[in-house]
Amino acid sequence: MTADVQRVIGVLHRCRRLRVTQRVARTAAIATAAGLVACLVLGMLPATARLAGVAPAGLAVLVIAAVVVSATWRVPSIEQVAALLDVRLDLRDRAVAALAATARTDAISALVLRDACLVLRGRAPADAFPWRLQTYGPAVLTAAIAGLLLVWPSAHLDDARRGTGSSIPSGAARATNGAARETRRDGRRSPSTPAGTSTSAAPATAPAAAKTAKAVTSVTSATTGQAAQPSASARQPGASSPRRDGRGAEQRDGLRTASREGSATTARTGSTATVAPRAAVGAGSSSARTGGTGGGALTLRTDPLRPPASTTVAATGRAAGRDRLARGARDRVERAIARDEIPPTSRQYVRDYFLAIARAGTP
Amino acid sequence: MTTLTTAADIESQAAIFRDCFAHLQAEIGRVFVGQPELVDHLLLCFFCQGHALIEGPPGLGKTLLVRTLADALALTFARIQCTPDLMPADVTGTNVLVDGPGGGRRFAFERGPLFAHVVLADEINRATPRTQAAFLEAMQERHVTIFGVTHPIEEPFSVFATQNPIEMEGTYPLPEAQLDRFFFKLHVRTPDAADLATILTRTTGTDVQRATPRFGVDGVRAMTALIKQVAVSETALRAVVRLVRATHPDAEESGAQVRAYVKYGASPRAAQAVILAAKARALLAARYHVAVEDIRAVAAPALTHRVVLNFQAEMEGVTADDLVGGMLRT
Repeated sequence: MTADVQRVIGVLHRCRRLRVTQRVARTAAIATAAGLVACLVLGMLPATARLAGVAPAGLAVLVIAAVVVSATWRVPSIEQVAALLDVRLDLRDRAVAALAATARTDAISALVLRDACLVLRGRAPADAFPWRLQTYGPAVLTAAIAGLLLVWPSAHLDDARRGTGSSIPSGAARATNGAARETRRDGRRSPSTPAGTSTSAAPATAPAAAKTAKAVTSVTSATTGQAAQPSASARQPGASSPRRDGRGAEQRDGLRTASREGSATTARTGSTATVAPRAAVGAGSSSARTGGTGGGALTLRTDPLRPPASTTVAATGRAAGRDRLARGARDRVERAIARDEIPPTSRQYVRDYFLAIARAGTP
Repeated sequence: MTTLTTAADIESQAAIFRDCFAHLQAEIGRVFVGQPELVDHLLLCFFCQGHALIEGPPGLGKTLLVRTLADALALTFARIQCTPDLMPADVTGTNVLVDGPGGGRRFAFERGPLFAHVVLADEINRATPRTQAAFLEAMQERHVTIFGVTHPIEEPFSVFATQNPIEMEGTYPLPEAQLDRFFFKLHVRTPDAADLATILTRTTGTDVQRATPRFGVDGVRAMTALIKQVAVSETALRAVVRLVRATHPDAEESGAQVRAYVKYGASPRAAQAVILAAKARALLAARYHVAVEDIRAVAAPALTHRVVLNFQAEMEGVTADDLVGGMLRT
């Protein structure tokens, strides 16, 4: 075998390897994207939510299978690669002719090979088969977006859990949030909240209401994914709350509603049916000051002079842990509802579901 | 025909071929004004040892073109003016009674104009079919049989026939079998304003342009042999096969237009012509293999006269040039 033959064959084989690699990469990108999207869709469906654990394994299997299939199925022949090389580099069929000439030993074949070698000198396989973004870009982008959508909610929840590990939102606070959300969404005050509650309660309980407002601000931050940055106002009593606006007033109103009219809030929000009364009970009659019993840390943040409510939590033991998990799950649901991620027709069902698993103690 | 066995010989011969081609282009260009594509096709046809049918109105320099080719190559040239009373013997030659050296008489073969290297059959469609048939054997077999004796025609041998597409009265259109023997059918177009001015300047003065002969018989034979050595890849071969089959209305490769307008498609001779001309073109491009672009470049003159159109095409004014052009575009 002459040097020209070896050179031509070598170039063609390198091009072929690159072509196969590109095909594998493209298939892997598409398979990953498809798998992630499938995981996302599966995770969104209530009926298949239990398969969430199976999805990563399925995704991995899918990607591996796609890579194996693309690497072995319809691998381009060396003749096909030569023809493609001719087209891509405008070689005027030199590669194909040279490949055919490798099987012959006459003088004209030697010239054909030499001509091909001269033309191919200095050309890299990537010149003919470049890694094009438009080929892989959409798949990679899809995979990235799908991956982000898959990862973000869990990371967000982890953050929220981490944040609520020390400041688990109390039932009252959740009720407050629920009421505030209802108010914000509807653009008017909740029907169960007595009109002018905030103004009527203001003179008697103004200092307590101010404290509670700070507590509520802290809780709201924690439950909306800002738990990693505890509210400065909550830690520094007396500092001005950033939410001393209409929304804050609504939240205060909501808190009062939750603490004083727990049953009414329960009837309205559904998911807080068990939470709001418990919060009211735990907090005694001055729920406006304590902000509920569930969150001991919250109480500490709100009022360091008061005995830590964590003693109450410790007393409940494992039941309290289960309770916390159940509350976390319910929180997720409430947030999902607040973001309109759950259709209105399914909201009650979802709330009931979490209520049921909370009772069972296995959220 | 000698086959070159070393790469160095082939390379040097290829260089000579390119030099000769350029020389002919220049020499013909000095005498024949414009239409470089026509000149290139004519030269390709000659070097492939094919015959060309040159079609065009009178007075466009068809005869001058062929004569200049013969002059520039130092080859023998013969011109046959075809008329209805032209006899086959006038073309091929015949046995004539001659006085022998001993006083006796004997028949001797008197060669006709077909035995020249370059033959111009002017207005071939004015000759009777009988005379036209006299060209058949010579063009295909490259020999002439007279009274049972076969007389080979020396190579290089090319017949360049001309015909006038306008005046059809008193003509005998060439039958398909004879058309198929022509390697290329070339069209001479009316010169544009600039070319016409140049023609007038050159031909109405005292200076008469003459081509300088340079390459002889042996040189042309060597070049002809070299062309046949050029490699044809499987891809190019398949392209030619596909192209020729696409002219057949009953073939899978044919398109809707071919099915609608073509009666008979191109023969295998068409494919041979395409391959040979593509080989010559590849050599001109300093390549030793045929590329698909060579095939595209030479396909039209090799195919158009071999495609027989049906009545529908004639009625709708569809020409073979349109059909082949359409096939080459797709």
